[in-house]
Amino acid sequence: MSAQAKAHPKTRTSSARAMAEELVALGVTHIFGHPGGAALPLYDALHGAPIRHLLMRHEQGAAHAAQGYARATGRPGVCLATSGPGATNLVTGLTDAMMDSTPIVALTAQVATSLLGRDGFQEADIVGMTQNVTKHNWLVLDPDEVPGTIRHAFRVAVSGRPGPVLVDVPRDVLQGETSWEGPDVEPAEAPRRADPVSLRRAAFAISNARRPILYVGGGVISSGASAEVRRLAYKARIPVTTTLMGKGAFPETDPLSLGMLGMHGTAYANWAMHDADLIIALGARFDDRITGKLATFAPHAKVVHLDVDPVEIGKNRKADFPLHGDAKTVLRQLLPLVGAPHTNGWLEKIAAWKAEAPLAYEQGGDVILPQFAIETLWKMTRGRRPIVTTDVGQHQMWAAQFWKCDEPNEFVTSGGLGTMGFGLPAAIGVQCGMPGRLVINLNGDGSFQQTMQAMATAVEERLPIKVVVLDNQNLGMVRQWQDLFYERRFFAVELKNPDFAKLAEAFGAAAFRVNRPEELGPAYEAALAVDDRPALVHVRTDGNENCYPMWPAGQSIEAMVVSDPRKKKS
Amino acid sequence: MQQTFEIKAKDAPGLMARLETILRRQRLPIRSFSFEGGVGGGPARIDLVIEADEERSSFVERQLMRLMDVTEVVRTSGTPAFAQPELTFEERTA
Repeated sequence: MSAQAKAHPKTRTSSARAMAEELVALGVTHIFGHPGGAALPLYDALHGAPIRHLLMRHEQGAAHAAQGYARATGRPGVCLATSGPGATNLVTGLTDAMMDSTPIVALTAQVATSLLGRDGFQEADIVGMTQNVTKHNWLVLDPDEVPGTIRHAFRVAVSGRPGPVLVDVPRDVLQGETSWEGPDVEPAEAPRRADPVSLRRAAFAISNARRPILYVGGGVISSGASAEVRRLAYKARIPVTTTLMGKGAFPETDPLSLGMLGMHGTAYANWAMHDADLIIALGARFDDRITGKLATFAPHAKVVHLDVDPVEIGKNRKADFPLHGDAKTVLRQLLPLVGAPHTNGWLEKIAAWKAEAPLAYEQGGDVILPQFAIETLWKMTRGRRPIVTTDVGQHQMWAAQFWKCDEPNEFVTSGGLGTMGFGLPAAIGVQCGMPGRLVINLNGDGSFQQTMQAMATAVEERLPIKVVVLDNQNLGMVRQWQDLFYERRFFAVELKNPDFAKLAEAFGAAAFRVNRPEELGPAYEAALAVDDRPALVHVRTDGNENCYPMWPAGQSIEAMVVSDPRKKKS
Repeated sequence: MQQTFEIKAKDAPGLMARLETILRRQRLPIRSFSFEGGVGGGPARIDLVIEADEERSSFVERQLMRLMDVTEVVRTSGTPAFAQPELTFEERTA
C-alpha cells in the first residue's frame, strides 16, 4: 500500500464515491460526459469533486474530446456515459482510439444487476460490444472491486501500446457500499528495452546503408521519442518521412524532412521510400494508405522495424531487423551504436526530387483554394505554436500537406479509422488539456455537420477554440473518388449547407464569413482576437479542387498522380 | 497445416470471445478446442488447434499474448512462433 493510501482510514462509502475519489487521485482534471438514469449515482458522487465535467451533447463527441485531451497532454482522457444508447454512442470514439493508440478511459453506467441480460430499459451489452475495440474492458459486479478496477484501467490504457479501456458498472453496484482504504497507486510498467544483439544488427544495417530513410509514425509521439528521432536523423544524416499520426515527430520545416508519405503524401517521400535500401520504421505499421500494393512496395529495401507492440512487427511488411520495445528507450540504446552512413548522394537525389515535384497550388481569381486557406492561417499563427485538430476528408489531407508541424502533439487527427466528426470535439479536449494554447480546428462542411452540436459545449465552457469550416458544398473526398475512378458520376456528395456563420452565432460563438481570398486574413485576425468563446470562420472554397499527389488505393507507386492533370492541360 | 496452442489465462468473462475474435478476423478455422476452467482462482487452460501456416500462426500467437488475461501461450506444433532472428543468432569471438 502506498503512503498516500495509509493516510486514509478504512471507510465505508458508496463505490461511486470511491470511484470519484480514485479519479481525483489519478490526476483526472476533466471528464467529458453525458448523464442518464443509470449514471446518476456516479454523477452525484462527482458533484463537488475537483474535476471539471464538460456536458457534451453527444457521447461520440465525449469520446473524441477525451482523445483530444489525451493526444495533447499524453495523459489518459476520460469520457462518461450512461447505459444503453449513451454507452453505444461511445463505440465510434473507442474504435478510433484503438486504431490510433490513444489512451482513453471510458466509464459507463449499466442497468442494475437484477436487469442484466433481461433486455431492461436502456440495457446494452457494452462490454460485449466493445471487446474488439478496447485494449480491455470490465463489467464490475462487486462494489469492493470498483476502485481497484479504475486504477488498473488507467494503467492498462497507458502501458505498452496505449489504447482505450472501458469500465462498465451497474447502477446498484455504484450505489453499493465498499470498504475502501483510500486511493492507491498502481506502479507504472517499466518501458521495454530491445535486446542487445538485435540492436547491434540494426545499428550495423543503419551505419552501412546507402539510401536509408526514417519512416516515423505515431508510436514515436506516444513514446515521447521525438528528441531521439531528431538525434538519430542528424547524427546519421538520414531523411525523415512521417505518417499522418507521426506529424511533428520531426520538424517538417527541416531540410531533412520529406513531409508525409502515402496516398496523399509528397511525391518525393514516396519516391524515396520506393528507392530506399533501408527503411527504419519507428512506431509505424506499414498500413495500406502508406504502402499501396504491398508486393511492389519499396522493393529494394531491408526493414528495421521498432515497435512496442510485437503484433505490428512484420504484420504487413517483413522485418529484417525487428526491434521490440519502447521507441524512446530503444532509440537511446541504439544511438551510441550508429555510425554515419554515406548519404550525400542520396540526399542530393532527394533534393532533386523535391525541386521536381514540390507541394504546390496556384491561388488566382476570386475562388478560394482550400490549400490557400490552410496555408494562410499556418503562416499567420506559426509563431504561436498552435495545436491543430482536423476532421476527415480532403481538408485533412491538405492540412497534412500544408500545415507544417515542427513539434509533436500539435497535430491531432483521426488517422486509422478516419472518423468524420472527430475534429471539433477533439479540439474541445485539446483546449481543456492545454488551456493556455491556441487551438485551431480545421474542418470540412460535411464533417463539421456530424458533431457540430459540440459547439454548444465549447460556448458553455467559454473555450476560445478557432473553428475553420472549409465549405466546398460537397463531401469532397468522396466526390474526388467519383471524379477519378467512377467517370465523374457524382452521386450523394453535394451538400445543401446551412449558413455556418449564422449557425455558430446561434450557438453563441463569434462568427466570420469569407467568400473571397482577400477576406481571409482579416477574418482570421478577427477570429484570433476572440478570447472568451469559440470563433468560427466559414470559408467558401472551390468545390472542384482535388487533392494531389494521389496514389490510388492498392496500386503501385507508378500509379501516383503528382498534380492535377486537368490543370496541366490548361 | 494444423497448429496446436496451449493457452493459460485468467479465468475471466470475455476471454473466449476475445480469442474467437482473433481467429475470426484472421479467417482461421478452428479444428479442435477444449477449455478447462480455473479451479479455486487458478488459471484456465485452453487447448486450441487451428488450420494456419507458419506466418499466420506466429501472428496469432503474438495476438493471443497481447490479451490482458492471457498469461502464457505455448505452441506445441510447428516451429516456435515469434521467431526473431536474434533468438537464433550465434555470436562468436575470434
